[in-house]
Amino acid sequence: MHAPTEPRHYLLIGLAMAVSAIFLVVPLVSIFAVAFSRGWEVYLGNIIEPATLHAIWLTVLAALVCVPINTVFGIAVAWAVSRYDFRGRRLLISVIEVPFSVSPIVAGVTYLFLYGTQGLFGPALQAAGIQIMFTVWAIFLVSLFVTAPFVARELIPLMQAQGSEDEEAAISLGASGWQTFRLVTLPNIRWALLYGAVLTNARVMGEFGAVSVVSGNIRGQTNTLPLQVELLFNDFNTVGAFAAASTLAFIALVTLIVKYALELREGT
Amino acid sequence: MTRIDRRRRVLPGFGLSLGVALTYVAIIIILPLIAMGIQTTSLGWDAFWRIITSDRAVATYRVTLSAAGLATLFNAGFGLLMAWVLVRYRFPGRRLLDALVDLPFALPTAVAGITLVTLFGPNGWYGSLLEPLGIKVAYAPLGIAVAMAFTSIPFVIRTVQPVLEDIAPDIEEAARSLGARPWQIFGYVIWPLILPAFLAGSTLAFARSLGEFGAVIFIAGNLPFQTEVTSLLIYIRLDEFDYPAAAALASVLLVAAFVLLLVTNSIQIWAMRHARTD
Amino acid sequence: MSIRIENVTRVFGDFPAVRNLTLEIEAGELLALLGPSGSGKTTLLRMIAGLDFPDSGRILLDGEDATGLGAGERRIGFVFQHYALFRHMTVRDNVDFGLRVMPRAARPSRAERQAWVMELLERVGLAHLAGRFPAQLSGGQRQRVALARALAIRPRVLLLDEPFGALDAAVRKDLRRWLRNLHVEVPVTTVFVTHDQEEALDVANRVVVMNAGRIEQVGEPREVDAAPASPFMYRFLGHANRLSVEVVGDGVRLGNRLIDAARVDIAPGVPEGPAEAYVRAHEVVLVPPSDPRADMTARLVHSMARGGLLRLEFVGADGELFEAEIPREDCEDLALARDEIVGLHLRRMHIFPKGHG
Repeated sequence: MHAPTEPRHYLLIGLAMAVSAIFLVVPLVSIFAVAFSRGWEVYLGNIIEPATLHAIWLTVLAALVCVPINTVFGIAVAWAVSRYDFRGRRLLISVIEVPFSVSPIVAGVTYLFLYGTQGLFGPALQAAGIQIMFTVWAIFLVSLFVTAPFVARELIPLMQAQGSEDEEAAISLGASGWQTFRLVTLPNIRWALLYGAVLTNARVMGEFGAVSVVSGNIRGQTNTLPLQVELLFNDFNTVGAFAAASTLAFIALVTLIVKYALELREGT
Repeated sequence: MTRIDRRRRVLPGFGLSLGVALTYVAIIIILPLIAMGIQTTSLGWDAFWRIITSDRAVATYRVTLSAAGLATLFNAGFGLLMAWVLVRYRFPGRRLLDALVDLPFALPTAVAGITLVTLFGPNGWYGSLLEPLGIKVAYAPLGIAVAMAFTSIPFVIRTVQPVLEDIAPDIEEAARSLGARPWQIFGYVIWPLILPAFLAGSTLAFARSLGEFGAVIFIAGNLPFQTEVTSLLIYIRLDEFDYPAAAALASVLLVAAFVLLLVTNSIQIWAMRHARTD
Repeated sequence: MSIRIENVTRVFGDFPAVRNLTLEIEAGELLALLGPSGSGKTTLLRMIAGLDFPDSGRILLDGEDATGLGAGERRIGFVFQHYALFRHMTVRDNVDFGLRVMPRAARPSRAERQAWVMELLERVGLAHLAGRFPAQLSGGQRQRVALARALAIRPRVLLLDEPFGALDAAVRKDLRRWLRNLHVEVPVTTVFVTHDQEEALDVANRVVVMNAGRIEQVGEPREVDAAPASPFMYRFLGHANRLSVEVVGDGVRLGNRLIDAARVDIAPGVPEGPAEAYVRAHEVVLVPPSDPRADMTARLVHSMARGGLLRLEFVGADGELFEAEIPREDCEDLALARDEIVGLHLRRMHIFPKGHG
């Protein structure tokens, strides 16, 4: 890496910055600009509007449910595929990636055909009087699907690169499995784990397509924040929509800052 | 194989971790896919074929594919430029720019959607500049491409960047010492090395664009036969409680996603063959 | 503690890493497992540690069957090739780790632990670095922390995987001496793996040479060096020349020359007829080409002085490379120049069946 010296270097940098400004910086700034276009008071009023407040609560709840579950899953799957060799290991790694490449709408549809009234479990669930589709449970489930790969994706390459010598050393010194995990493995992976969890969180809070299929869009009951943004926007309440959107944009910014800070730590 | 399975494993937790992983994968990932497979196959071939080749469906494929193609072209060029600039040059704001690249992944698609349509709308910051020139973005096919391009910006950059970083400076110096000019160094030395990553990144960006929903629906206009994407048609069919049609169309998107996943994996395997020599 | 390895086999996929191997290690020994890479020495070490398990056969520790015991239950100190120090813990915490994870009932008090950790760090000469993190230490220092950590649990056996492998030459030499001394101070049964014969012969009381999953030769360093038992051993120890000969009675024919039994030792079971002879570089004497002692003639292509020795390379009549190692003063009177033809007298020839190994 070097400082630019020739005109073409400046040209390339200038071009990259200009396109980034048009497609990244201005959109980000415009979210807050529109949200605050009528001043602080209107902004706060929009946020504490009961439906929006409820959507925020539901979104936070989804994150509180999904992030820990997918963190545990990510650790389990990363431990299994990076510490042992077994038949079907590569297949397992590929299957974990599936949610990442499936359209959010398709993700929602698959869940509809599993738990919906006409779905695979529909009749059985109906007989038992359990409603999953169009409730918060469906939102949790489909969010779990969409974000299943995130923690695992961060951990697997790291744990493969680190190898199992540290854990073997701990075991040979008499540590139990749990002690080894807590005292040796966890400290070794903590930053990647944190980043994976932050990414999971951002996606759970921001998921739109899949959630809009399974939530049923009942205002004030199963509306997460992105759905509330859509609702307000379609009601021509642009400022209200952007106020709600600004909270999500804020979460996105925090995510980027965490990543930035972790990369500074690594010194890359 | 049985012998190895019966063997003791040194690190504890094999049964527990694999058990948790497999159970979870089965319940959360595989079971829903099976459910959709069942729903689709219960349609029968004729009905399935009629749905996925209906005029309206075919029109959505055309709209989706052309917009995704356009978005991917943009991202191929912009991604290559960004990766190059971020890896090669030290300049003020480089780290900030690098961090900003991930914004489309971190920002919810619905937020991206309303932001883009507001910017490119007739009264928006960009729209008010473009519409007098006769360029219509919002509620037009171009808008779909813009939304798809935005949500898939990071793919090419993030796949090419690490490969570019790994290219040792001495091979460029070697090329230069042998008399190669800058464009020859790029064409003969660097381009072949980053090509697999570039193709893989572009394929990922294209796959993401095909399935994009949240960002697109706000800006598309959603007129059947003109600005309606496949994922939106699925949503409309669901809204009409036409579940068989939704299942059939969803399976088209799903198969497309798997095919593209296969393409990406093949590219990566091909790239590994390259990598093994260094 | 004594270790007995009984008919142990370990296969990875279709690659047999260790094949039906039996070995007895006595209490208090300082034993080297020596062999080229892929010979199975590290696999054997890991099986002794309980970090790998045999597909068949048994491992006995102090006469008790430990085959099925995990690494944590064997009380064995293992020093990893790349040390495997816990990077987020200080030197002190690394050494303390094995004590810290003991069940509460068996765990010494904090004060006792602290005293023992400092004593160990004292012994490895790193007490002043107790508060550092592994990343702040040199390779040799990390190696010694890893050793102190392994010793902290008062292991019954100390196992070291390529203990000097990742260090530079000067540090290796120091650590070798230091490990020998440590074994005198702490006479715990010690087994280490190395691919470097000099290291094995220098440090160990006894050397086990392995090849392709089997034991090739066992003995004291002096024995192994003085009497390699197989063609593999000659090739592995290096600086040995291979010649095609013909066994005639209890002597051999080399070209047109008959060499009698006095200079020839023939391995058991070598039939009359074509065979292979190994001649070590220091068993070659330079003579004028016309000298009656000359067994063959060759052309000098390269010479290198090293300490009191001269290492010479020749090309023989058939174009084969030939190596000799002679004391410098012996060649003072022979004015040697490149491309000069000299006579070679072979003091000793070791005969093995043709095509063996």
